[in-house]
Amino acid sequence: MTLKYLKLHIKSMLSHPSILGWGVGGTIIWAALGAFIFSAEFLKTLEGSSIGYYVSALYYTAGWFGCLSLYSFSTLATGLMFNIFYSTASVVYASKFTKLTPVKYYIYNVLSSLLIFLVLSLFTLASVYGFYSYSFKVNLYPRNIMLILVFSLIAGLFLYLLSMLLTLLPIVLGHPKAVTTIAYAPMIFAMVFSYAQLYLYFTGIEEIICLSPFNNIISLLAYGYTGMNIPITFTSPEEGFINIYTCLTSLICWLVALSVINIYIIKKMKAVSPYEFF
Amino acid sequence: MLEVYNLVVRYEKNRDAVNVSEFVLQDKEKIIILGPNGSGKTTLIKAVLGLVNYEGDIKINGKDLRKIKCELSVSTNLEEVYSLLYLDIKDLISLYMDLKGCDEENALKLVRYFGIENTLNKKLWQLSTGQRKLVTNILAISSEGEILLLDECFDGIDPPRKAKLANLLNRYEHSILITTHELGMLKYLGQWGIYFMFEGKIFGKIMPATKVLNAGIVVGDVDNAILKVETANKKVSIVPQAGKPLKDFADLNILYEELIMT
Repeated sequence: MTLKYLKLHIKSMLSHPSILGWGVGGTIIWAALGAFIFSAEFLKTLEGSSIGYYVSALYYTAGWFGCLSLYSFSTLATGLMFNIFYSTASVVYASKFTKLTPVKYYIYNVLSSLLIFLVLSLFTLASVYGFYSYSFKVNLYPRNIMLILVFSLIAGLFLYLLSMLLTLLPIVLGHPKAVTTIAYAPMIFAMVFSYAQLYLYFTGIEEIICLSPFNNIISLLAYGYTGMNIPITFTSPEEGFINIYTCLTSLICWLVALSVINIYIIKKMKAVSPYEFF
Repeated sequence: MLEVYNLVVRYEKNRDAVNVSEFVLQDKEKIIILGPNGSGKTTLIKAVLGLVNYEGDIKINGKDLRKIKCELSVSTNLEEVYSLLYLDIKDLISLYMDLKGCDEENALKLVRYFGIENTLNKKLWQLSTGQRKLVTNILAISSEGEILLLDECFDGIDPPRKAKLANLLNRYEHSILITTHELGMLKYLGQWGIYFMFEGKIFGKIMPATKVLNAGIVVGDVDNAILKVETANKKVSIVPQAGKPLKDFADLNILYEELIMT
């Protein structure tokens, strides 16, 4: 029946120029910057590192992998949401006058988006592995690809649901103009929290890292990449480690809360003309 | 059956975009709503589809519109309802026919009927106004809804295809509601019922449409009028064999400007 919607949604995303441009193109650029430009200062500190050159390089690479995944997932999620908010009238019509119910619409959108997140995760993994191994002149292979893929799905789902909430909430509350500003929040948060965990010291306020879903994502993906305890700050591994189970629990709680709120909001969704967004 | 009672739609405070006390589209009935641009025709269709906030009651086959879910009997050609996914026309047809539980071959036959096969690999926004209108008309008609709501369905289409479309609509077996400002199309739809819409209000109906073609519009309240219309500016009457004949106007916008606004 509406499985065709699922199939065509995947097809539409894989051929969408802005999703490909920001998701794939942006990831390559940032991966190269992290490997060849931002690593210059870090490389100078590696020789004197107490945990050794290889482990330091691995942490740096895993940190960048986590941050890049967060960045690419957030850009993809934001792109997907812009598609949704340009189609509010279609969603209202489809839920009233076709076989597509709000719940089916929600489930199919999430499922097809997760597949795209998975593809993007594999692409990011390959870029990071290639660029950083070349830059550090050691083989920095990911330790547990299956775990990375599972965490990527959870991460993608979180960013998708967050973007959905930030896009639909202003529409439901009758302030559609706010969407164009708020919809970019996941991308901005992804950049800020990524920078923070890569370079800033969080010692004494580890709770932020454990409760912030953005840092949860970075830590979980980095854990999958290294198979080792994850430092609070990637460029200063000697400062202490994060409890990975707390990160996972925190992220799952965020997921459950967002899912419940989003299903409620979709049922309340109104049709909005694209002109009302500007 | 479509029933509308005490419908009010407002985009601005103190100004009704639509204000209709009663309008009913019976099973298998074919109706044209004639009105100039900005008279509220599209808003009326949007209200019936639940796309705008409204006051009053709208019932589709006896069910309250606000509670309707998965009601496959209604189809429309409004372009904004066909942007669910970023797809080319072929996939768009495939998607919407699946969502409506219809055979996509019905739609592809109509694509061939109108000779627009060259649009199949393009996105909706890449088409000309007339091609877009044809594609959305096809999506609506091939859904085989019991209630077909077509907004300005002749807009931008070339005359031979307009005639083909009118022919197709005459053969359609269920209810149709068309909104248009093109008086010239009435000659193809002579047996349909007609309502006029001015300033958000509906006046009518006149049956059959050919009566309108042979009538004229006269300013003021005339006794033998087949319809009297009261706008904010003027009262006018549609009178058989009197005044300036409606068939001389290709477009209701011109008539509205000439007779009612001046």
